[in-house]
Amino acid sequence: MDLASDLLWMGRLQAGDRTALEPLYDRHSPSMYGVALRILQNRADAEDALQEAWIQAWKQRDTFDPSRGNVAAWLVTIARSRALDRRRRQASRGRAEGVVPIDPPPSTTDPETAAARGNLQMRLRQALASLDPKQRQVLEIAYFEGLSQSEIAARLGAPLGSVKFWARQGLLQLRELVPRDEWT
Amino acid sequence: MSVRHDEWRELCALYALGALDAAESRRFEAHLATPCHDCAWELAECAEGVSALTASAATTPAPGLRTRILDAIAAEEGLAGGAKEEKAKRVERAAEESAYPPPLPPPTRIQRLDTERERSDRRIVRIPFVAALGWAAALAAALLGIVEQRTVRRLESESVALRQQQARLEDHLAEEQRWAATMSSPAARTAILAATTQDRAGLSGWALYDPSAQRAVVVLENLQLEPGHDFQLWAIGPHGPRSLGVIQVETGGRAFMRLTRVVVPADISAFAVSYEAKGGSPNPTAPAGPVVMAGTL
Repeated sequence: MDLASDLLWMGRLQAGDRTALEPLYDRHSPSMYGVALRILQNRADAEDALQEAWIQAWKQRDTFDPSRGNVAAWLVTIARSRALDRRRRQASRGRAEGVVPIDPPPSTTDPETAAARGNLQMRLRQALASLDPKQRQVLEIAYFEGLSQSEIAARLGAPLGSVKFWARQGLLQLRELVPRDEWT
Repeated sequence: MSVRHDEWRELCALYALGALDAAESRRFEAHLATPCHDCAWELAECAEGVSALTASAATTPAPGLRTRILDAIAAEEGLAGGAKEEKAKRVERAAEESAYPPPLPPPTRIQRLDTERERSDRRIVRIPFVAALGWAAALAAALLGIVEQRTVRRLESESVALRQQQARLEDHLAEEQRWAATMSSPAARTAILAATTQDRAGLSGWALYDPSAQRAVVVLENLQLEPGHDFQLWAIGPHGPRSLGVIQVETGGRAFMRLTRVVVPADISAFAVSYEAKGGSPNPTAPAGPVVMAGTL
């Protein structure tokens, strides 16, 4: 499945065809769930966030606008927002208990696909690890912790200009290290 | 390009990462809508980096979750649909009541024994039977209408998606044609890049720059990279150097770069390559490491 297929399924979803959720779920849930898991650090919470995200995606399917980004970005953004909301609610309640260590869940993916995905995953993680530590730190704090630019600058004790520079360099380098064709 | 615009451009990465607060995001989106193609392009590149970041975190959810989520959506839809159906039935009932006489109770076994009452009842019972035929016809027509409407909507959306796909392919083709035009542009100028120090005498390369399209093609060879370092490309203009980014060195020490929006004000007079700590110089207008290659246009 590629970007064009995504658009086709999204078109069917917008026409009210609920069966189009299935191929979209199969293709995009790993990224959505992975982001939620990184943010929440807890499987049960990440699963709830994923469910909320898909319900929101279904209810607000008409708001998807292909001129503003692809289907994957739209879905992952929803999942990230739901996970960050949940994390903020937990933080405001001062919740610290109930954290379950993250184990890889059993997979139903066929071995060939799993191997290809694992290989790509390894390359992406290597690419991330190869970034300058400050660049990587800014990307992870911004995306997975949901901090604003001024909060990141305060956390790192760095000028805002450096935060902007590290964010840009980090993203562009990540993009160069693993060409888009390999992970879309 | 004004300083103000550079500030907008610097925000692209943080916007793509969702690290601007609501007010900052609104201002940035307003700037994008001006429209600003330069920032839109930069944002698209940063968004690809964010996609790689999210893909690096991908984790397959537990198998049972798929059914749970799809069922939850179906249940939500069922509840919403149930309310709609109930309302539709109420409307339908009101319409039926005005269009047809109220149905009579069916004849009982006792009534059938009474021939006089039986004849009388049969006459009356025909009225709801005719009405039922009318309802069935109306229902069939309504169902056909719904099916037809859904089919039309689906075909329309598929048509839109195909047009979008076609537009993407046309964009891709146009982009390749623009590169071909750059390579053969009469306005394009070339620079031969050579090593500036003896210890890196093997470095060689060339750059082609088309100021009218603000595009450049750079090919470099024999780039020997040590761990913890990067080569960085610079455009030299009348106001000094400007970073064109860290160079991605391929196996064998070769690098091939196609650069768009090479927007150094006025003319570029030269290209240079510096040898930097990993990640490149923190200052986009000055190398931090030694310049190891240079060539004038």
